[in-house]
Amino acid sequence: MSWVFSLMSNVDLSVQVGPLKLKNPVMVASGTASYGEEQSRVFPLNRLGAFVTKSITLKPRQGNPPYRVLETPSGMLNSIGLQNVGVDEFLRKKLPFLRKEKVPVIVNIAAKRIEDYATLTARLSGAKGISGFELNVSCPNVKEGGLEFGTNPKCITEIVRRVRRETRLPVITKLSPNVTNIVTMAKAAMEGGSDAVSLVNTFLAMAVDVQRRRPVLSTVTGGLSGPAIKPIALRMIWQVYRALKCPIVGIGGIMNAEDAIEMMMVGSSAIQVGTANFVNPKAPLEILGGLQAYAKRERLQRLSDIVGVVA
Amino acid sequence: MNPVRPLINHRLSGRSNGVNPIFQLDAKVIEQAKVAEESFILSLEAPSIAKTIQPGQFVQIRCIPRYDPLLPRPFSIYRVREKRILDILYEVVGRGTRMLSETRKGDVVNLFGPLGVTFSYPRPKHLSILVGGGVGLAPFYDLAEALIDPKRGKQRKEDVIILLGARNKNRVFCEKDFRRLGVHFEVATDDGSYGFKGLVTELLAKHLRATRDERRTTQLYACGPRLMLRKVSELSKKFKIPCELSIDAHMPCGYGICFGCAVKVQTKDQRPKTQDPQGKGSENHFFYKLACVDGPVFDAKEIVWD
Repeated sequence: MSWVFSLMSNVDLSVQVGPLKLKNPVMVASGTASYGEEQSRVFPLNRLGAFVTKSITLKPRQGNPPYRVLETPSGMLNSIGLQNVGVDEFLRKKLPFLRKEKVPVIVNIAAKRIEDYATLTARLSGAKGISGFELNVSCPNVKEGGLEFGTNPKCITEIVRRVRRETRLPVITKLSPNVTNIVTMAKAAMEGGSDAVSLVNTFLAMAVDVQRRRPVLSTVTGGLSGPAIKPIALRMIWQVYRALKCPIVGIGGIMNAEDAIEMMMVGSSAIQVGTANFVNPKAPLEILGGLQAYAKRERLQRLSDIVGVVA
Repeated sequence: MNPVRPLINHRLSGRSNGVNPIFQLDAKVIEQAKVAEESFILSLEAPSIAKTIQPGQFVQIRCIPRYDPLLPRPFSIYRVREKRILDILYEVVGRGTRMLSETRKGDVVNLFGPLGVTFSYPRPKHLSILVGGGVGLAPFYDLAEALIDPKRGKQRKEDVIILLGARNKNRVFCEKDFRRLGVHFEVATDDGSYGFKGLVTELLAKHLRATRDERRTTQLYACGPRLMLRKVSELSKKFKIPCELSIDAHMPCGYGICFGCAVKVQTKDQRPKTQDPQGKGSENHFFYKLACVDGPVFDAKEIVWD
């Protein structure tokens, strides 16, 4: 891994996402790095700007039946169903591990009822080693809550407001792209007191097994991610940045540094690497190296200077 | 009476023990050999993985550099040679494996591993029966070699039986390799064009009846299509023989981060009750393990077939 260190230079890679200051813009997206134990066997997690956990719910969830995933052209479909250990075990077992890794931890939370978001935040904000929250108001793969919340601006505002009351830590709201107007949703989140929005979550999609004449995924529909969605994600980030100039975390099919730069140019202050983690476990590190090289080549004083230059 | 559980735990990897390093490297193709219709052995130079990988574990392979097909594919290790070469036995089933079959000597593919948990070895002087359905034979050369190794499995050559199920004689492969190893090797073909005529599970049933009559303590291993695994699992229950299955699944990441490769397993009583995924609040008697880190090797008894 010496090549990573050899790329270190004086370029300032730090970024500001609302009140959240990160040493670099590269995070891993929720649900694509579990709770860090596995990825830490591949690279030191503290190289990341921040680590976003898999969605945590009040009670453990066992997730959806197989099939949960399928490869599609330049992308994949998933319907995991928020399988997770629940907040108690997260605090007991998973958070202490992440704390040891010395990486800023953003806890992604999801719930079926609005008041559960507040309860979760209250439980978590007392714990040491959490740098912020990301609210999953947009999971397409659970029957209640999830997508329903994410497509209703009033619900989004209410969830953020209730969470806001429970914590002083930065709050990022992760939005669903499965809406008519993404700007309305971003505005709703910011009005509720969100410090930033992360966009986008996966696109509702499906696939058919023609041999067996039925849907491939057990839940019929799932979320589409990967390079296939990047152009749509870019358009949505661009729209939100133009309209609101709010802090944005860009997500959607980022595979390499160039993709990350595109995301920043349309208005993302930071980015999250998702599906790429499955394709190439070292993707976040390689993207970081690429950003460093780019900033040096372009003689940028601060990488963050490119944020929004194309908006 | 149920035979004494003979398994010695050789599980080295997996979620509970996240300390073994996983290597990611660009591996050079040394050879691409066609061994039967649509079936190949790909030889890759990968010393770091070759030195550490154990029978049952797997690697993720990706043809680089492109985003379509996007995801890597999981492969068992057929054989490790000279502590530096991995032989991968595979069959062309889709776009990913087609592309892999088109790689040639000198090309480079991306490798990630070792991944997953290992097979267990029975106590000495057991009879081991290894059942491979088609390309499900893949992990069993490495296992057979380990079983007869005096330092590892400590079994006698004549106590290791390999059963291969194939569609027809054009799909029979690797017989010579196993014969050279000195273990017992039998083939079942669906159309009877080679060896036993019928399903490999019928051939297995024949063997199990014989071992019951001889009162041999036996250990079963199987890898192959789901229907075959289910049948083997039923036979192991009927004959009260311990059985380990290597289970294949759609596996995007291969190391426990995506939760895509769910395998339904029975809940043991001491397990915490999980909430129903659909929020009905009922207590379930099953939960999901991940084929990549909790497996690919599972005890046949824990799998829920539905």
